[in-house]
Amino acid sequence: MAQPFLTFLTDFGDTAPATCRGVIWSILPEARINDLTHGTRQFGIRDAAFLLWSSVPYQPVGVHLAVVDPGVGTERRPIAIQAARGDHLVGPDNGLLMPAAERLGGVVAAHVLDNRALWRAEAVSETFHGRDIFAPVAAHLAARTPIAEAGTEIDPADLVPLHFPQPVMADGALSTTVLFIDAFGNCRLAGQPTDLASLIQRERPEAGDRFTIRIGESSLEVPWQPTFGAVPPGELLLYEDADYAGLAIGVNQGSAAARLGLVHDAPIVIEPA
Amino acid sequence: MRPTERRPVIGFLTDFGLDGAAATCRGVMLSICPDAQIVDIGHTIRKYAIRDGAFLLRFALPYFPMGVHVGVVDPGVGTERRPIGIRTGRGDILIGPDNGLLVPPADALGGIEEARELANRDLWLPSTTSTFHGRDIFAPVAAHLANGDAGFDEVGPAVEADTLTRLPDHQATTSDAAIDTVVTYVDSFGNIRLAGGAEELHAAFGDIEDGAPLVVEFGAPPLLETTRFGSTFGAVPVGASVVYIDSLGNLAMADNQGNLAARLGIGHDRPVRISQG
Repeated sequence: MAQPFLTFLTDFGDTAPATCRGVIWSILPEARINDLTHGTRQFGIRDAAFLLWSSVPYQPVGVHLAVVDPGVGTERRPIAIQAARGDHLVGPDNGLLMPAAERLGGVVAAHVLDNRALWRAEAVSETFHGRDIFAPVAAHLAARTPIAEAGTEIDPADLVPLHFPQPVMADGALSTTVLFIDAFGNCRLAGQPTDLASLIQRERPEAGDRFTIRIGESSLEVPWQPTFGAVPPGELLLYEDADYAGLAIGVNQGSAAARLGLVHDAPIVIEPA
Repeated sequence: MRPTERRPVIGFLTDFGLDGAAATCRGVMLSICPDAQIVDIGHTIRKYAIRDGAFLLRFALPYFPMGVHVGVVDPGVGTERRPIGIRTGRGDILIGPDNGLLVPPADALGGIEEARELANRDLWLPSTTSTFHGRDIFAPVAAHLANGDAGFDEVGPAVEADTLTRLPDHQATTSDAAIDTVVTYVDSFGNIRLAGGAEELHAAFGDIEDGAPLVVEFGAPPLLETTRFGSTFGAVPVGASVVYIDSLGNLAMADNQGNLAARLGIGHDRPVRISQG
């Protein structure tokens, strides 16, 4: 029997996650914990939701604990979700878990974490539910405690949704935005390669297809290429991002975000060159 | 099945940073080999710095249990550069791109016994991309090997060791009471590693003792630092620089409780001449 498996994602930075891992291992010493990241932009619920969405299909079935929780201690609900693949997701009801739950087959059941018997036995703080509520509940679920014991069942339709921005196609151009900037400075854009291909009446873009990208007042011609090394170092390319499944702009051995001055949600228009 | 009950150890190094790509690879490995013990060597090395990755793998892996180890610093991902595996003299298998990254650690693990191109798609993820071979090829191949459900001879055709890409060699040369060398690596403390080691030090300076004065000339642009030889950082006052032999046997230079690279503005590949002070 495989060891119980959890993934763990927060915006906590360096040391607070270790305290949460201590709580999990106190309850379930044999837990295996795969830290997805603890360095997402603080309070960036959408960034974290995007990372979780992009990574969960490659993770073993288990409990996915995610805490980016600017509303900690307010009336926002702590929740656990059961997904169709068999995974559980634990975290705040602020949309963070929803795209990942969809990617794991959809929400089968949702519960508010109101059973204090599964919380940390000591006093619960108003500011660190990661340690006091989410981590212990996640550990109990990983230890095969049924999700029904976590608390009151709620209608999945009442969960706070989160939708990634969608591109708009109009007048032969694709209007998109920066969805996510990775550690290399590659920018994942809203939309799919097929959206770009439809601009040139194709099914798929092909290596060497050229597009004009407009950012504010400036415009640049950029080729579509299958990978970074297909253009010289320092040159821009449009490509299909493998990590985050979709349209992206990058620089071979450089940062597209720095080169183009792109930030999250920056608008970009792409049209045939 | 694996011959022993010991959990398989997988050392793992990338330049992916901390935003989840390495964790996705760990998920792939644990899906295939659930009891793998994955030890993250580092994911925050300078991006695309193949030599830094090679240095860190060479630094770390001799202290690991024998295992399957994955290194991904891969600016050529998706181009014609080959995905490879190397079986070392010690019995480890190193998995990664054929760009020089794996050769220095292989040398430190008893040399290259056998190299193969990772061409057997049965051991890859069912669907692969041209920009994330860490997830799609290297992680699953390593996990299948670690799990014992594939042997090294099944990963793909053997390739001649002398066809593997190697990083250009950095050499130190000694002359009359001087060493000419180059900065090979800057660590997170700002300590600099130089080509050469104890052999070059003794060839140039004989039986050098703690506190012996030295002059270090950095080239292009020229910069002079008067310093001392010491066996460790604390051999000189706080804030002072010291030339020492590091824990791997490399010639090295540091500030005691300071960041020498930042203080002097020293980067990789800077030429260095060390002479008697």
